[in-house]
Amino acid sequence: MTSGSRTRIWRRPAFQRGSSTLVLTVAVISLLILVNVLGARYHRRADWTRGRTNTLADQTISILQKLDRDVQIMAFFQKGSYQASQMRDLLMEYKSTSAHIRVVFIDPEKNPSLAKLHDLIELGTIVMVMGNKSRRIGPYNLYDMGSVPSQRPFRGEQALTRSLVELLGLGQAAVYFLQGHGEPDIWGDYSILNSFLEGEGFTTKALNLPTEEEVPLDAGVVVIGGLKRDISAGERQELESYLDRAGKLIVLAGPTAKAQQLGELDSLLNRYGVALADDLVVEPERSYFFDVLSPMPKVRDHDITRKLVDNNLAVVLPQARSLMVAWNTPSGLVLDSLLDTSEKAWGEKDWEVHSRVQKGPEDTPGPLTLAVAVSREAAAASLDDKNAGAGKQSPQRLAVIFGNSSFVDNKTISFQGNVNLLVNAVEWLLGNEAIISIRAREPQLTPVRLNTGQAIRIFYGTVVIMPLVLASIGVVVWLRRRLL
Amino acid sequence: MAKVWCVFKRELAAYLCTPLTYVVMAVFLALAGYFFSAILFALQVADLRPFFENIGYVFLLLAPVLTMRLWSEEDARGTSELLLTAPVSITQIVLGKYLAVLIIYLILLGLTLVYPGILFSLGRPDPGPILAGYLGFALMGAAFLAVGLFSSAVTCSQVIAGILGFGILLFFWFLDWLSDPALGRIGEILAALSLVGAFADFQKGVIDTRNLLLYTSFIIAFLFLTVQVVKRRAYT
Repeated sequence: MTSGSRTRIWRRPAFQRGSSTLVLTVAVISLLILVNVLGARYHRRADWTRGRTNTLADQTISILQKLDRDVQIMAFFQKGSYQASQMRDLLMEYKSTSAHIRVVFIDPEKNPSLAKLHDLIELGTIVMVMGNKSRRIGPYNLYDMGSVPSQRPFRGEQALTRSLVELLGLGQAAVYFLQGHGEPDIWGDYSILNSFLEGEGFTTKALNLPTEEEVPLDAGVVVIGGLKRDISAGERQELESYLDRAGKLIVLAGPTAKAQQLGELDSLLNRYGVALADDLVVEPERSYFFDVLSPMPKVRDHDITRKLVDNNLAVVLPQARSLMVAWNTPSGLVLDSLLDTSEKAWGEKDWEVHSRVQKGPEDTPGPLTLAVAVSREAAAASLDDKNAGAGKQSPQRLAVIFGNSSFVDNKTISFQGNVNLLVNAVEWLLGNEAIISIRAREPQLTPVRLNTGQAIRIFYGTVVIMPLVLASIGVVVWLRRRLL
Repeated sequence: MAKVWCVFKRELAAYLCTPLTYVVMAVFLALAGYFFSAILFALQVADLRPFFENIGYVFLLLAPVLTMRLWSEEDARGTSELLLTAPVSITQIVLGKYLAVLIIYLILLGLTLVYPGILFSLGRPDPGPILAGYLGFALMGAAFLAVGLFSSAVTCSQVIAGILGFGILLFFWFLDWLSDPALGRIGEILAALSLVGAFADFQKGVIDTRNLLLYTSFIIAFLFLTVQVVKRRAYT
């Protein structure tokens, strides 16, 4: 065979057509891929929902834009659950806003090893990891209060954004728990409270004053909770220095034995016009399952308790002492009662002596105050001030004092409004300027009430009549074709 | 455009004169109606999102059935040579056929507007997710039909065209499952090509230009591939 009679393969028309088709196809597909890659980088989103429920808050967007490292978010949810779809919607918004957000949904039932790796205890937990730092958000941090679970406002954005703030080290103020006096450990009896506060984006730390020169500068709130022994004079002075530089205080002081008086703590509280009564509250009218030593006090309306009041949530304070409050203190302090007993309650003085409680003449009659919030009104703007239109400044929030320490321990914390009461107190003290506060998303689904007649009409109309009409047209068309 | 219009009219008439079209539409409406009413009775909320999730699977099965006859029937009837030698380009033929099946699909989708009408008569649903859901479903369905048209052009057999179309759609539908921690970035890239992943935003009332671009790209890509396949058949 000679070379002239054999056409080179690349000169054959079929090869040339095929290769040009291939090149054109690759070019078109590559162009489409490029357009999509650019489109992914420079995309726009429009939220068409009523209430813009899929739009992230400005604070969240600002935090996401500060991310310079990848954040892995693992969401442990049951596949197909409503909570999973809510969280997925939210996390997709985070992912759309920042290329550094990596989202993985893990069904613990299908991936038990991964769940075990992260010490997963509850479904609905989120674990955020950035480098060697991690934050955990529990399911209770994701929803606001409400009696009907499906109608609870969703607070996932606030929880996620606060945790991002902590991972980035941009810091919400730390909550320090005083230690060294027999207090419950934040990794022991207060561990659930600790987890909840961390899930809200707060950093919690233990504070051992004898080893510190002063209360750390990053302390937003110091919690003195459940003292079994009094603080020392030196510790009191360090705490006073901290409070003098606008520190905030939460005291959880349950009854202590007469041999263990809390004189130094009392001195500290005197600056607020509050003293700890040496009693044990007995509440025969409003108590938890007839346990008169576990009062369920009336919740007074205040910024701290408003959500509990609105949602009709109670609190229980097992083993409480009353507070003696100088209501008309002249020092400019504003004292607001948060929790009051009924009038039938009393403060039992010699509760250590008798095995049964009985009201005596020396006992303090009710109603008794079990929690108080302390603030100081800022001076009002003067009339000849150039900025007279500015109005009054916000009051300075100073302390919240409870006559009980067990309402937030692991055994009692999950009762109705207990944990929210303390977390609200922390947030109230720190104020909106210092913490991320994002409006919870209200459920947007409107319920529908159907009667039997409506249900039947809807079913037969949509499942039977409409398809039958189309099928009938098809039969007519078929018959016409057969007859032609 | 006039030639595209001619092809479009011819194909639309063929669809409207074919009993199969009405069978497919009746089956789709029966299933759609069942999903709508069952979800409404079970959840008792004015929300079409669960409906869209389920009906997507139904159209995944029906789209290849609607499109399998587009080219395969031409071969079966022996009219493909006539069509390919007519004074109209292959691109115009493909566009005309695609528009015809798209109109049938939009008519079908239009018939389901009864469901949001029922919801509005019973309550105050949020119109945003409903509008966005329908826009997304229209685009997703249009992408399905482009894949189905391509499958029909690849083979002379309607059955094989239907199965091939279903297989391709299923592959792109389930890419979403590839967002597994173990696959890392590759998994994320593949999941971004998922048709169901792109639809999720529309369902919740969010219009993202990325998703609009993805569906449009699918349509363009598969129409382009259809043209190339038909050209190859024309020359062989």
